[in-house]
Amino acid sequence: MSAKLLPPSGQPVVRLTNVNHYFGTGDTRTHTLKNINLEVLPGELVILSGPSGCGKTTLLTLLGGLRGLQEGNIEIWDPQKGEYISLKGMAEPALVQVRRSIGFIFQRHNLLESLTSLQNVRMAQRLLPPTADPDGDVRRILTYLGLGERLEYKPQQLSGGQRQRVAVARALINQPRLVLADEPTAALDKESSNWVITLLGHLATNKPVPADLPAQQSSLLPTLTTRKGCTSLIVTHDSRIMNEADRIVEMQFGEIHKNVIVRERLFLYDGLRSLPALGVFLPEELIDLADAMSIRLHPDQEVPSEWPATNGAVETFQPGQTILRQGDPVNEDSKFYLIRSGMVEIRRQDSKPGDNIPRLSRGNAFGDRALMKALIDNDVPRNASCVAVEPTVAYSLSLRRLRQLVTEWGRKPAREDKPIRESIRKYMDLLEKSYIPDRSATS
Amino acid sequence: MTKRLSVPLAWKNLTHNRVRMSLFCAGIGFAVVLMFLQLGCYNALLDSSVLLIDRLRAPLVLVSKQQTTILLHSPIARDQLIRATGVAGVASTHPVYLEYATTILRNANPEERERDPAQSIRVIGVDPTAYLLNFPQLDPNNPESRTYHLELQGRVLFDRRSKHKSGAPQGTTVYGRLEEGTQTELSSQRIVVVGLFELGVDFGTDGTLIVSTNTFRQIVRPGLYGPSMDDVDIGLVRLHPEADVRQVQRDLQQLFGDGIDVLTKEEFMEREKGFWRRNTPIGAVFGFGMFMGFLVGLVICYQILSTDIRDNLSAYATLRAIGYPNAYLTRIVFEESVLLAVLGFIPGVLFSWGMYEFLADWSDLPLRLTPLRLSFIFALTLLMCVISGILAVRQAMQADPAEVF
Repeated sequence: MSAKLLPPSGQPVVRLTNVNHYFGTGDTRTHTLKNINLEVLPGELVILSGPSGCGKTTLLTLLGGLRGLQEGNIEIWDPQKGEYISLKGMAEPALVQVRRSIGFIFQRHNLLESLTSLQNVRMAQRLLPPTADPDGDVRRILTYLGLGERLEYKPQQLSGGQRQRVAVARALINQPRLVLADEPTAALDKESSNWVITLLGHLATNKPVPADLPAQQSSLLPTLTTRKGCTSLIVTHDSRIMNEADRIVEMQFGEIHKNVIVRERLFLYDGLRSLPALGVFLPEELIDLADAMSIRLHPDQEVPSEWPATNGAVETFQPGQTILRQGDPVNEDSKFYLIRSGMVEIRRQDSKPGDNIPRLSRGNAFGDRALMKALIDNDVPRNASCVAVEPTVAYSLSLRRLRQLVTEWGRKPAREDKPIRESIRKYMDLLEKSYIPDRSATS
Repeated sequence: MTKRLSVPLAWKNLTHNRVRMSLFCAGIGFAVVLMFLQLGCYNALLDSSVLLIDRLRAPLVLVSKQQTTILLHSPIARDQLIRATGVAGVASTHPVYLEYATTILRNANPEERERDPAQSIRVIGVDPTAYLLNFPQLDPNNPESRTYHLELQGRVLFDRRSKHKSGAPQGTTVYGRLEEGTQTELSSQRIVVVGLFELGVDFGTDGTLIVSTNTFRQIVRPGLYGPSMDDVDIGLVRLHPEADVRQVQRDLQQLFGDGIDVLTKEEFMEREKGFWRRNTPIGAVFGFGMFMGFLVGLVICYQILSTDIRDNLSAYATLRAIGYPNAYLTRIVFEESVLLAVLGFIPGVLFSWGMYEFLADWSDLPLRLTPLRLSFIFALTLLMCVISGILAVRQAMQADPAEVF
């Protein structure tokens, strides 16, 4: 793959900076998008979610160059120029070129009623220089999407789901660098929805062909996904796509409420869920905790030195560096850690020679029990030391932030029956008395 | 190199609903028929005024400069024809005599009760042996020739396309049913019909008789009073085969100076048509009619295009969204307007042709579909549809790509 087709490593393919958008004028002026900042990496499948009217569609239209940008900036990586182009103040002819590089999937599919399925797809195909076998390409993608018998059918002869699949074929025939989609699977059954999701996934990166994909689709898939690195921004409520997403951007009232890297959230959630000290928290509270620790980066990606981690934080430790020291008091700035990479050793002053020294690696956490106890008691010391034995990167969360979250959860209906601090106290007492098996090594 | 796959979107948009397409064609076709009828009637009236001139068999004609129309008597002296023969290239000259007003033809109906009053008829006096008018009956080599019959005194050829008598059987004119051998009276003198020819009526003529110059002298211009046989209405000039028509025309004009116009047959026809255009409201009446047809077509075409654009607005917005420039949408609308012009023109022409046949038969006017007139109406139809396209294309531009999500 040419170096220019994708931006430099770690750089986004789409970058939104302080984007604001308004509808109407005077008293009726509505602030639809508020200070949106978002970066989408090449090959990411990003879900835009949120209630109706929260600005998702406006965001898509701005990204697609379908609406004039009022405030802020949107930059898109241009593979032809090998540089970012700004949509701010872009003239119509240039916008037309940008639109050609994007695959649009509309919820209402908007097919041309007078054209057959083949011709509708060709309308998008002929915008770009022809491939070696343009007719074959169109037939193959329609056949992949289960429309091999409906090539010459006009939209009015097709069901809603079939029309939607034609619209998907029209959007993906040119193997675009960027796909903007609004409920692309809303009208599809489980099987065809799976075909669409698989196609989007394989346009993004090299993946193994799913075992449950029918033979015909499996054989066609490689011919339809010769170019990789396709980024998708999808407005959907379809959980089947959510499961495949790399990131979920939740919008509320025109703002990005949450920007979750799905793999990172799952990584953090799995790590937090395995901690007995946090067993008192409900699953949705653990997700909040994971989001609070998130640095918006895939857990397998190396953290760049200049990574502007937002909300959460990661800390890097060198071999031999003491991270926690036994006996140190726990105050509001004290933290607990979840290892992203590397390895640490747990050392206790009362350990005897020959005792097994526990080691923790990726996905394990430490320092959590002391923070949980500090939530309900003052003057809680650390009961073990923790030393890095390898270069270690760990997510961290302070007692102050944990206390804030606990206070927020305490106000929610799920905790109305019993004060959350009382629940934590009782749970920690049981844990101390070892009624609850302690799988963690330290606190 | 692989070619881009074409999609004839304009054609598909127009034709994918056959019923709607038929209505579109009918709408445009209706406007085409309106324009054809107005143009047809306008030209028929003008053409009828030159029917006789069109039959003259000579490259040049001599007419008085004062003559504004052949209906009005404004002769040249017969001596001038003799003078013309002295000009290089001139082979011969021939007089043509015309009379419109004083020649009254007695109705030939044998039943006295059904006999209409006698009425005037145009009489043309020519040398029957010189084949001066392009009718088979005057062609000496044609089996239908009546050349020698006409040389006899009181023998006439009657125009079978003289004004048809309303409600009467086919072949009955306002002069009665005249056939070969029919005897009647012209200006109270006995005549015998020796043949029938086909010419037609015009502004000032309900019918025509062709007679020899001798018969003309005897019946129409006996020389007692009024114009004499020395007053020639049209002088025909025939040239040697090698003669240059334009050069001879210039030489003759130089010879005659301002008193006589030396014209080609086409110039003579144009002059005659010009008289009717200038001095009658037919140009304005039928021009306005044609304009109304154009306007009706414009509105119909605009409505068709507007409806089509409105129906496809989301599709047009989608095209803009996926990367088609505004120019493409403009092109589609114009392609549709041109297609509408062609598709509406074809049934319009066919229907107009039928209407021409019917009206020509009914009115005896020469309604003709010439290539020039076909081209003219097609150009008007095209213009009409393109203007509609210009008006409608603004709607296509309103298709907002941001609204497609």
